[in-house]
Amino acid sequence: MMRPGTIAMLALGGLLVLALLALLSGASSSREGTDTQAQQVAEEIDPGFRPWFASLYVPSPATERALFVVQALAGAGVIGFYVVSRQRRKRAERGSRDHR
Amino acid sequence: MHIMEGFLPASHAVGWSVASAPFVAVGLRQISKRTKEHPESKMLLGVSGAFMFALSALKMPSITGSCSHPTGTGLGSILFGPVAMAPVALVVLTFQALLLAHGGITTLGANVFSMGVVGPTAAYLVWRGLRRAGGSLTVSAFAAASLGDLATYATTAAQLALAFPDPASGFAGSVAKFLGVFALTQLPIALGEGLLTAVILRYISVHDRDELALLGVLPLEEVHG
Repeated sequence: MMRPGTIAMLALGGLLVLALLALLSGASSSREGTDTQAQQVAEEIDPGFRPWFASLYVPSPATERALFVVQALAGAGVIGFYVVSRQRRKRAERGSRDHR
Repeated sequence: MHIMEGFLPASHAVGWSVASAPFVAVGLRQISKRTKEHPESKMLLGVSGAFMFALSALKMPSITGSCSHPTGTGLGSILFGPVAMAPVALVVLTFQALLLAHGGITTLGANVFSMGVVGPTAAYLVWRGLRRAGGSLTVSAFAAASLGDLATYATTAAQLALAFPDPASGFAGSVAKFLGVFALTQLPIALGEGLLTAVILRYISVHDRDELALLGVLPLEEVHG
């Protein structure tokens, strides 16, 4: 059975990895995404097909990368807030128990 | 798993939107009911949404040389049930469709169906099945989130195959082609998602045992026994 301290460390480590991945996501943007590959397969199957609707707004690659990072960091921030608030609550509970 | 804007015929786009709409409506009602009955669960709902928001933004490189996204739906499916994930997925996918040109408004229904309905349902069924069979919380969460992720991509492959059946081998041949694009790339990403979900759920199970009992994730006797 893992100790709560170990789990907290793992959770915080996971968050750190998440934040790092978010920041490094831009590095993998040069790789072709599976969404694009699926699009190519569809075009191979039906060479005459053309999308009948286009995105209303297409960000530049730099803006896209920045928005993905913002999205990932916003999510990671909420989870980080939760982890920190639970650690504080636990410390406060431990403190009040020690006072008794 | 984002089917790009304009890539599904209009009839398919409408069909998938009609199929997803009831799940979104019921999911909204379920979330509202749960948070009214248990206001303390709002924090966990926020964490589930944030988890999906964060993970689906990660463009992860994979062994095949291409890259793809995790879905992040497993955690919320385990905590709040699969239907509650449909409106959360709608919010995340709308954000990505409008601001990032990932997915699209015409393909929103299809993408919500794969990421907000089928993936979470698969994750939830695996979770319940393994827990009933005596599986540990960590292993069950890992398997549920990993398989939920793979189920999402398998659904996308089927949706694309329905729209683009192979002239020679038909729907089945087309599914195989689209699965060929997703399967290998997605496997390590799904395993990573499973691992992260298991760690976060384990953390929640230590710090919010009462909330998990109220949500029916942990049996009451396990929490108070």
